[in-house]
Amino acid sequence: MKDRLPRIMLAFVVSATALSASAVAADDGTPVAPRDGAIGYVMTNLFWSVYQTPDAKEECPEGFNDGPREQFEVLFPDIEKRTVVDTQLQQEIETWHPTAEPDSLPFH
Amino acid sequence: MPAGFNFPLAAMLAASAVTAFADSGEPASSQIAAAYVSVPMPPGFHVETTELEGPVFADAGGRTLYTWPSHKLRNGYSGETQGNPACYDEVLTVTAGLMSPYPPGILLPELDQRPSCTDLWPPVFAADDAEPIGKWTIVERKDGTEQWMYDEQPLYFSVLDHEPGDVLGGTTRRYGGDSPALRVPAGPPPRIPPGFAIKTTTAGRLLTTEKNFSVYAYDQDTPDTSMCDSECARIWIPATAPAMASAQGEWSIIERSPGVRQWAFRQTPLYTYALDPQSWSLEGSDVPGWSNVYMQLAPPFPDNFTVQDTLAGQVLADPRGMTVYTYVCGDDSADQLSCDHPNDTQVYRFAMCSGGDPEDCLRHWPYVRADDGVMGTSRTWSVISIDPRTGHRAAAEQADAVSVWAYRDRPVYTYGGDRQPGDVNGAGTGEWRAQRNGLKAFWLRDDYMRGTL
Repeated sequence: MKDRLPRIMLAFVVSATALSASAVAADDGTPVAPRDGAIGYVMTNLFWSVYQTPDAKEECPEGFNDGPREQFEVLFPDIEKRTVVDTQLQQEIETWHPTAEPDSLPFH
Repeated sequence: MPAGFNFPLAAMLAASAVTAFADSGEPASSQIAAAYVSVPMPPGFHVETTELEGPVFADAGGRTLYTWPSHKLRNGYSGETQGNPACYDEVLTVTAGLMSPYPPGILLPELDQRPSCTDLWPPVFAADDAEPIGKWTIVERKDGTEQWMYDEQPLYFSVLDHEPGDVLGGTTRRYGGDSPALRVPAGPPPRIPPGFAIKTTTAGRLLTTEKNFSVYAYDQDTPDTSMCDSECARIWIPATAPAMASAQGEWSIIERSPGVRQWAFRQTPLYTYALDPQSWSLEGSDVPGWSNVYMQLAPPFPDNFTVQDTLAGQVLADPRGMTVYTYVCGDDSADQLSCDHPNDTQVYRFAMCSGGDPEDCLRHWPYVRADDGVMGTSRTWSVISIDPRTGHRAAAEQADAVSVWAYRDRPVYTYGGDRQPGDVNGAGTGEWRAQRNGLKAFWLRDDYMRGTL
């Protein structure tokens, strides 16, 4: 993940608002410097953007993961011979009653 | 803490007319009769009163009539468009693929026992000499038979209904986009002024505005006087009546000030709550003295059941305080047949409750047992005998049968993952968060789902 980060170009924009120096004041209203020279910030917005390279090979060299429809086709290529019990409900059981067994499908 | 289900005024409002009629010797059903608009009906049909759905159409034998309105699902529509019967006697064998990501063409379970659509939903056939009247019309089915329609929707019976007033086949409750295309009981419109609506909820038939905002009553008001002064009325907005409106039946009008008229129902002035954050909110009933208004309260739940507060509202709970759950299921066939009744296949429920093992199912989602000798308290709350290994009704004299509480003829459950009263850890367990095949907490007041079944 660490070496992948530079390839995923993230635009990370933080709008920060410095606590106004005028808000740091002595009891008599005289402005004073922040304690230890520290300045406080408040994060008001966070924007993420992900840019995809033309063939997506740079950020996903092993290709994209399958979605649930594609996974279903891979798992059950012969659905006309199968029942709801051993296809759809089996998938739902893996969701609602998961085991520690590794998933049978690749995850990139 | 929400005070939602403590609605003494609402109960009084819903019950007052019953008391009045009882005192006068008239049946309580007269109250319901006064609450709907009389519409022309063909000979042999009448309006039947029901516990949860109010007035519904029924045939001469009292069997409730249902429609099957078109419902948009993920990959298409199911149900019936106006004037087009779609329920026939063919036994469907494969899924319709209406619920992405699952494709069409998968074999449906237990095909050797699978009923056809009309096995469960017999059409309401019209006699040869039947004549249309009002919104009642006749449609020719593709097999040449003729079927009654109401408001252009073909009409059916449910084989689950056995006595007049049963509405076990469907509901007018609001349901979500991933729910099956449910069957809906047909009935006459409620007798309410323009601008109001009635919503079926677990607690009863709730009076709202036409924009689905709750309507409230104030316990300091009298039949002809609002005690909510101008300051109060900035938050509690009087339900004003137009100048031409007139009192009718249980609806009357008070004059708050010269020229300002306010609707009253069962002799209680009505308001909306400016601080309700959204439609379907019941938060106004948390304010002392203020209550929601029900056209008709649902039957009381069993005596030893309890009400528990949760982070998301109030739930019904068993005598130990553990949340009660209902199981909801509809298959992915074009017929959208139900799979949540003991008569239906149990493979869907076993998959959700235990991964397919009936024994584990009894541990993860135990039935709410009824004490020995206890009988049902209403048509809505009954005690039924279940074969715990199959989930179907037990045979007569079956030694290991269990007596369980049932809501609308379907067993109710608790969840093994709930540790203490107020836990709702099992809510939304199952396909599409239990909208299609799963378990839902029995909300007496829901603060977030906005009345959705």
